[in-house]
Amino acid sequence: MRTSHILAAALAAATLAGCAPTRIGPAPAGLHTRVATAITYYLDKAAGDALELGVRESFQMWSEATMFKFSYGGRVSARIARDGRDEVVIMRHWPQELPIGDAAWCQVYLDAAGKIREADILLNAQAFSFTTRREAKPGSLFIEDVLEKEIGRSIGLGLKTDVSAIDDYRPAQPGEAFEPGIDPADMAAYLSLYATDPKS
Amino acid sequence: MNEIEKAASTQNVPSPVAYATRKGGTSRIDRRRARTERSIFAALESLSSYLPLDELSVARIAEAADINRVTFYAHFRNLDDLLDAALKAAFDEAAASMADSFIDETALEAVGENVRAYAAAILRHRAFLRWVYDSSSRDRLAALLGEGFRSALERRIGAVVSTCSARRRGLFAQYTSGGLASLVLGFLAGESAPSDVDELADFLPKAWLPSAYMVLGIGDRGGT
Repeated sequence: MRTSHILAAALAAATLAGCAPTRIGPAPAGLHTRVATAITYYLDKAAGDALELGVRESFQMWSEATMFKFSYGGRVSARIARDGRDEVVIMRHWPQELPIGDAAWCQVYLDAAGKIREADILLNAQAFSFTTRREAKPGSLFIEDVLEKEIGRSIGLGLKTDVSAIDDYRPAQPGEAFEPGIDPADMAAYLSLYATDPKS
Repeated sequence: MNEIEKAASTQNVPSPVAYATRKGGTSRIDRRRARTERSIFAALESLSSYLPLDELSVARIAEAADINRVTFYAHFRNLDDLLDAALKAAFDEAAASMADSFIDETALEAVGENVRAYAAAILRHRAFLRWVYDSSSRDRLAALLGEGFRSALERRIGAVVSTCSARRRGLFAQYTSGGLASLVLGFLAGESAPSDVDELADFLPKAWLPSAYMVLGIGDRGGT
């Protein structure tokens, strides 16, 4: 009897812990690098086929330019949690901790040494709509543009130190031909952050 | 446009670049022209170390180069023409410093040495380049730097790296050269460490090589 109570209490505690909202906030000040170079990412099942294509191309771009190898793990019921999975989460209700004018947020999870172990990218679908370079829906944000910045953050580049900081992404214009690419400043940050002495 | 500039423009004086293209020879007149241009470039470099760009004038350059203003206008149409030619000369010189001396090297470090040699040659002109950075030619400077680093990276990389496709090598060179150019621009603007020219030139290959080993599929030599 007593054992079953303990088991029930443990189960309840585990369930509550699983339901507890993950605290959203900036990484501590300082430089944080990503430990693993092979990263599998997952996409929210709410995403359509066109968006999936844009997301996958964005990760592919970073794979081609850097030492990180991103591979697509498929669509899942994505959520903000330290659950061992890097996820791109489409948020119909933007977390109240974040400014509603921010289009995206990269939540990184660190280990005790301050290294990045996991990262979730949140897309603000409450205040913004997203398009791709192929669709170029006027007034929407290019997912490739947003993810260029946020994927960089998932490996430690330009992590925000202030939740109130807002990135200014330009909405697509009618007939606009958007050409995705990695910002040279982001590549410079990547080269600096991951530089090592080749002889070491 | 002042009187002398007007006269020069109506006579359609060729820029040094156009002149070199048209002539290409090494006659006595050519050598004299080249000598005068070198002295004007040297005067420009010297002035750039202490003079604000908005105080630059043809008179100041002529005085520093020990020529008269008419001679200046025989070589350059105006100050912009001079800055443009000096910029091209600096980048040509840097390109020439990359490194056929590494022709026997077969390791990726030899390509990295091209990057270091190119950066060191470029940064010798840092005072002048900072002028350019502060002027409206910033985009051109970024483009030239990016193209220079791309050339440094692509030089012989195909011979060294055979484990990945030409497309992948091209993409890698494209993105990495943009990053290296941005690092140098940050240095010129005083926005990023390191603050020392030699330190930066040494740092750039260190920034590039670990990534190159992994991206180009040679092996795991990078990461932190």
